[in-house]
Amino acid sequence: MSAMNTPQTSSSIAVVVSAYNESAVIAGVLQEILNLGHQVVVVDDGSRDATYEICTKLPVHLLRHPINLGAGAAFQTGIEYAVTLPGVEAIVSMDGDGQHLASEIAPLAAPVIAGEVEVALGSRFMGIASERMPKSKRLLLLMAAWFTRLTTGVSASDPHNGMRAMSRRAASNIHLTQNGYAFCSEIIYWLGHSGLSWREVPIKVRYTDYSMSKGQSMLNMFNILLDLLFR
Amino acid sequence: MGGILIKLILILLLLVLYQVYRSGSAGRRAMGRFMPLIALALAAIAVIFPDLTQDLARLVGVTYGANLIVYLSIMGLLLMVVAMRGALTKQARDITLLARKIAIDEARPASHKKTESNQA
Repeated sequence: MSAMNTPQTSSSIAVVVSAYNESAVIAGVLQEILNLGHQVVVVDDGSRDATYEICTKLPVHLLRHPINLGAGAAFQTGIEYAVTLPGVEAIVSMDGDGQHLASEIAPLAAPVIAGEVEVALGSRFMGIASERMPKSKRLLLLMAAWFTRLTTGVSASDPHNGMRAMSRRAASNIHLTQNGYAFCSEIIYWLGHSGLSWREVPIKVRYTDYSMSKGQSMLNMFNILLDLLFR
Repeated sequence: MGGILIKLILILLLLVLYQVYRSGSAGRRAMGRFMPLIALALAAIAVIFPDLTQDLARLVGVTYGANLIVYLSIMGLLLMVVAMRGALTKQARDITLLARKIAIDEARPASHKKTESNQA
């Protein structure tokens, strides 16, 4: 896991990874991305463990919120930094808990780099089976998709998928105000009103005991709902 | 006597509200600070002149003065909750923007690590 062995090739893809108390897995997650030659922007969202210190040992762009703000705030911070990086054509977001596969980055960003669309949304419901997805999680995500369709008019099969790609132009125009997980719905709302072209791309997600312990609960759905209603 | 007092208080309140409306956010901030004092003054008037609240209640279609005070108190509390929520939301947004600025200004670029590796 030495940074000396990491390929230092520059890439037109910048991967924004949000991390909060991910010291157990963050090094492996980042190394997988670095091995593919992509630029990495890590936003440590005020972790209280050694997440930040671990990241300092890797060749990544490293940002740290002085306090914990939430996944939405970390995403927006990472995007605002990533658009300033020279040579970047596509910005991909990923979670720091290891549920997303680095091998999915290039296929997801491909339609954006090719100029076919401005935004590509990862979807777990387009034929590729995700490893160990619990039934309750599936139900939760389908309900979220239904609610998002109802409130935004945009028909996305998996709006709460943390893996998405966007062009530099699209990323420069996004200004999220939701600090929590409601930012996923806010992105879809923004997408519906911005007029930007978009497409869903099937991706695989691996559910580990670790990622499931950190994922969204049923109760958090109510938080998201209230955040969206009383923003 | 009571009727004249009620009219005077209502005129005074309208003048204060008009002034707050004209002076924008500074006026609203000042109003927020003076609100407890105003509430205290109104409570004192209600105790000293109990007939006054009764007259005021009848004027607005409420049977008893005590009821009117309860209704006004509940309305005041609700207004306070809404105002507090608005202020807290704005504060949270400001904190987010500040934290973001700090994070971006103090970002460690990837080249930082490369330089360290090269020196090692």
